[in-house]
Amino acid sequence: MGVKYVILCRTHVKYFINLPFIMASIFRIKEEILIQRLINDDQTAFELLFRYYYPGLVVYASRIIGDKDEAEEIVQDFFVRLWRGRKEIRKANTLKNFFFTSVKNRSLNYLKKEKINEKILQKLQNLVEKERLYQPDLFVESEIQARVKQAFKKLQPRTNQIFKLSRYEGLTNDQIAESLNISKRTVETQISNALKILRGELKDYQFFMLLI
Amino acid sequence: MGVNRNISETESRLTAYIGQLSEKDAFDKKLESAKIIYQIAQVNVDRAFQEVSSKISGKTNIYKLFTAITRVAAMLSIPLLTFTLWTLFCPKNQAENIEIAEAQITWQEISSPVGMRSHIVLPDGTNLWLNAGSNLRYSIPFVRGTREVQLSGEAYLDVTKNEKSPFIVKTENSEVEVLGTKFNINAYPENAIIQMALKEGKIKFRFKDVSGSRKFIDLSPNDVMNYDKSNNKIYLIKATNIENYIAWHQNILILDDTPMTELAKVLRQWYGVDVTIANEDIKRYKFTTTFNNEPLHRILELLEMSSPGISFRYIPGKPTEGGKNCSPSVVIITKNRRV
Repeated sequence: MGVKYVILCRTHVKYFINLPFIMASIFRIKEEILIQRLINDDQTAFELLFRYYYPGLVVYASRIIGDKDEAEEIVQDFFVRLWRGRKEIRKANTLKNFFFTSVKNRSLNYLKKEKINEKILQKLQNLVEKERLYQPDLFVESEIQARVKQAFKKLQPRTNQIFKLSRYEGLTNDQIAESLNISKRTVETQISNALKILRGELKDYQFFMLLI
Repeated sequence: MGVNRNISETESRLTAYIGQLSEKDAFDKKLESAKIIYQIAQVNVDRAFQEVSSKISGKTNIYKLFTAITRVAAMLSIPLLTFTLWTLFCPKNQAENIEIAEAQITWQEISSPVGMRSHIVLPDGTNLWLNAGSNLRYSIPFVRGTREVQLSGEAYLDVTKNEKSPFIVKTENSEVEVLGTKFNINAYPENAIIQMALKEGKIKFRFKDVSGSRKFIDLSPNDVMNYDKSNNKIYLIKATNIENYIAWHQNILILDDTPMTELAKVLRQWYGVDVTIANEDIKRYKFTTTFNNEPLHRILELLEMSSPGISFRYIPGKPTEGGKNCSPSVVIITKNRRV
């Protein structure tokens, strides 16, 4: 992994492209170039970085402080300061680490200001630093994300929907059955089906291997 | 007391969370990582970016207001000189104010290189598709007295209605004013004409007529208007096939009795390839067909199949020295030799 690229597929400027061989060269802008453009007051560079990193940083922060609205505040504040202090950006070799470390510190500081017990805070900090569920790669487009998405593609769309309603939206089986107009039994089987398939698909998936 | 209760709530929630996480087995964690990815997709980036943009520009406003107030206060604190200073500096002050107002407007520029089309959502919610080889500029803040964009090239716009702030598209020689409509504008600087095709709503096209005086013309749905830049003349037709003019924004390529020379232009614009027509007499060939989001090689295949006697050869571009750029790929259209 010699050169870091920011892949600009989550920007609001959606490029329609029919030719893969053009795509490879145009849609990847070197991160160093984006930083340089940012330092030179280029708002587009700022927007590209924002759109690429913002969603991941928000989820990352809200997994530390446990409050999504506050998390959005913290990350937005970070970006406002990033823009204002753009002249002082040192040529960081990777923005990813810089961004995630900054947001982590801001989140922990927020909890400190909320006067959370030191011991709990210490535990949380250890967790964030060691737990693989907090590695930045999980929060940006990466191989690790691609692997997980790939596994979910193996589910039938219906199964996928039911699984997401249950696990991510926190709906009970009864609620799902009612809103989709199916029996509770079906919901249960679909969820256990999903688990079975995912268990198989994610068997070889390791958090470790992409850590470095 | 309320605050204390909140802290202990947060504390017990965090403790529970830390506990839960340590109990999770490998598979649970994998599912948790999937949840993270799911949550990331739910974050509303557009809204957040608008908030951040306004935070960035908002703070500067307050700062500038503050400096303006201190300036005024300083002047008022010297009552003796107030009058003379006021009369002396008044015009200068005005000039400064204008400068401040101008300085707050920044320009955003978006280009679609040859071979690409872009979809842009403007700050007011207007959807804009920018065709290949086109360029768009708009100001930030976007919505002021009017919403203005400057266009060079071709764009399809689905303009959000806002009666208080008309939407204006400026091109080299003309401008178009709209309220809320869907329309296509084709204004490549190298073309002799500017073409407007209106799908829905109403637009006002402003231009200079033959005598050089400013005129405007109102267009209604299904109107296609050609404005000849060389003699400032307007040609208006009622189109039955308005979709043909706007289909490009959905990646649909329509050839409707299109001559070979025109096809060469279209391929160059859509796919960024150079096209060479090797034989003079095949230039008058015409094509009628529709391609929906097809890659170039499929299009060439289909054209070749549908027109016996002509072959399409594709030669991929090669990396130039240094390996950073590619020479353009070339499509060569030749007439087959009779066997």
